[in-house]
Amino acid sequence: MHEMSIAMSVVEMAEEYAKKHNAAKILSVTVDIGDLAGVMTDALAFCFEACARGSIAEGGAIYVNRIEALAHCPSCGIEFSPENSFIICPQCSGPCGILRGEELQVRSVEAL
Amino acid sequence: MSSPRVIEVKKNILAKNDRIAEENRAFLKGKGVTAINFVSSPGAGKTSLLVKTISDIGEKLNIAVIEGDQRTDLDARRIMETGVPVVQLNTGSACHLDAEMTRKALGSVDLAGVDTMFIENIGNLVCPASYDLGEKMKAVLLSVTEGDDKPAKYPKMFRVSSVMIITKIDLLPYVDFDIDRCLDYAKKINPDIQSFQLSVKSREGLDDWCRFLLSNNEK
Repeated sequence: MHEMSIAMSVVEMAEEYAKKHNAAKILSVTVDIGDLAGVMTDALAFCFEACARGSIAEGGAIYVNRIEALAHCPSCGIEFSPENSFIICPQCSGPCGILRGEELQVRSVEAL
Repeated sequence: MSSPRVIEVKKNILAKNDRIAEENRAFLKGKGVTAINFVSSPGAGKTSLLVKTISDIGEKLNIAVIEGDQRTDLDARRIMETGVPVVQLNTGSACHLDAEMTRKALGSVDLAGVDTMFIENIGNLVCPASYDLGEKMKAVLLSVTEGDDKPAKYPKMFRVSSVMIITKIDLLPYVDFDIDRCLDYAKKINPDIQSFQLSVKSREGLDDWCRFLLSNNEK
């Protein structure tokens, strides 16, 4: 599962920031995951628990903010939530750009 | 006793991979090499298309290959028989190549005079979509023996690919694959995706693909 690689990167990043701020124990990590990022929340949480073992994040929680996808049509100007990841305008069927929904970031770390 | 504090991070989870990917990209640009990341389900015909491409235009375009597989060097050996430089990357259990693996592979192949570097990724339509290797573009293959709704089922891969190649079209009379429906799904996900349809066996569509490669040469 690639959620495993992603979880490993989350733990690494959380440890890096915690240590930079002289924290010795990570209580939780909050991540932003867009609906178009292709990452399952449950799988990520499961992998995070496994990857955190042996690190200062061991036993810590992961909080996932899911970010709903939002697309914009440059022709009609409307914004909409793309269904099934189809990025075409429901009004004029023209191609659209993605405003939100591809996020894959560590937002913050709660630490002692 | 210290109390918990919130440390703001706001950093892309794949920042480390992306940083190495950008370094790879700059390195390849400096060498004048066009890198194409070949992705697909297992068995869509990536290696076969590479072998055929090399035999068709290997004299006009200097090609090198990075072969990614979980196990064996079977694919690398097929490429080796064509005579072009090839590096086999075995990932063991990892289901995708990443920028670090790619960097190591780039360091172990002689790129002098190479025009186009194909990076044949692990057969997987999910994970490789998230990992930038430093390529100029991703090309996603799907064969007519798979479902024509593949783009709808794996939208991220089709969104991040610049090119899609429908392979094994010689088998169309024997399968229920609707090319127009497939292309329609793909365009709804990525309106800018460029498409090719070909068969390594019958040679249909190969010339268009080869012309595209020659026109995309960085030099």
